[in-house]
Amino acid sequence: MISARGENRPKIKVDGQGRVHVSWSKPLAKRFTGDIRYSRSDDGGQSFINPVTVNDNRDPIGHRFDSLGVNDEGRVYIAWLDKRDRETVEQQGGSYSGAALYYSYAEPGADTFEPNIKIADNSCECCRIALDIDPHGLPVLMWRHVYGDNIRDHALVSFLSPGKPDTPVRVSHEQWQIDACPHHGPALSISKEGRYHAVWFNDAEDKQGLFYAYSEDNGQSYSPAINFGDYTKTAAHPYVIAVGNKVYLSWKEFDGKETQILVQQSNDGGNSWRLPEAVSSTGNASDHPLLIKNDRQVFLSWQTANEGYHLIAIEEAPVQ
Amino acid sequence: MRHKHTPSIFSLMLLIAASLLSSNSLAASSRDFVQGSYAQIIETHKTHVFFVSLWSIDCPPCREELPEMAAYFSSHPEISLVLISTDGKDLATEVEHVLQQNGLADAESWIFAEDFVERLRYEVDNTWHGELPTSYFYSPGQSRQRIRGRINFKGIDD
Repeated sequence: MISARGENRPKIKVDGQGRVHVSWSKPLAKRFTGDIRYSRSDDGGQSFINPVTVNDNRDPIGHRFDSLGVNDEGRVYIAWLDKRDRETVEQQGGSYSGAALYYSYAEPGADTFEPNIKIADNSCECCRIALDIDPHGLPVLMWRHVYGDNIRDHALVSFLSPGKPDTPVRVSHEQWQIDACPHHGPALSISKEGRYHAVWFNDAEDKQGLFYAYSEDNGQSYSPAINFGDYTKTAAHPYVIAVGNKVYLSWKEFDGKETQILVQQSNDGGNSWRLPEAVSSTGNASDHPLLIKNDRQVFLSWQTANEGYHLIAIEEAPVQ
Repeated sequence: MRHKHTPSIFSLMLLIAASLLSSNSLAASSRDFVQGSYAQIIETHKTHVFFVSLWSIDCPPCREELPEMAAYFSSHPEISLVLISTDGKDLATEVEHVLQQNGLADAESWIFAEDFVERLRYEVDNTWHGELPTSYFYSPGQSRQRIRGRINFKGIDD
């Protein structure tokens, strides 16, 4: 079994040597439980190694919402939401908000993962984790965190070395206080030059919708958050990808009849933005929109019930 | 005596078995929530006070809220409860099971029965982005009140 819903879906990455890496959450018998699984192909997808379980706690509890990153050398990073600490606290009669963010890595070509490292207690428990690779080949993670009394803002952690996470930093400050599952995780893209580009959704009474900010100091501080998308059209599921100074945002809107995917582009590293442009639409069910890239081009990757799978090259938008 | 007792124990067991069977077969099953269903719910209940709760078996705070909700509404029969599961029909059996476990087998229950969830959500509230639980309190002649996130039913003053 493989979890394959909006926020909790299998991942695939190809490294500089052409190895194909996959990770997924394997649901166990009870709801909210699972194991984090990983496999790799060294022959371009012809065959895969026997899957390994990444979480070193093997209790039948929640280890889910995996996120996968691979650097150019092929070192594999996996982060996920883990309930082991919550279980311990609850067994002792205490209460614990959300889940914990856990992480592990495997050296290039290795079939085993290093001992698990806890990054933070009290992550939101149903939102995808964003993961990208910084210019040093180390991972950077962004997730929806639970601050204080159910304030669900976003946090980010970079790494000093593969086994040494830095101190997490708070990215967003909308102060959305809610004891609920937003099912709405952030996205993160780091340019080769090292600028971090982050997008997220929040729905506080006075700060609502989709937000973008960048960091020029390895995630320590952020530009003022820019609000984008049409809130009255339930702008949702933002994604971001940076290629040098070009930054692309994508998201989903629904006007009562049709779902549209919009893309907005910046050519100066996120300082200024062109007008958003609709790149695809559908009149039925659809997946979250994702952006992917190769050496030359950025693409929208989007699955719709009526039309099937879309891979749409993103053209330059008209100048504002 | 022995001869007399045996059939009565037997009939008691039969009675229990029959009542178990009937309580199972009588358990309410969720109705399909499709385009237009929300308007139908509003129309049906418009003359009295009612409460709509959107929830999912995949949402831990919803699962924590259900038993407290059940207790609250059993002691407040004057407020109608309408439950809408956003899980989709493939999970209907599990949804029914969770409702039964929480004493909500007899509550009015609906389940998302279309994959185009954006449209279903929009019909409920065009500013609702799908976070769960989300609830609405309706009172005749007044605008509805949205309540976001898990409600502390134990803390509500009567």
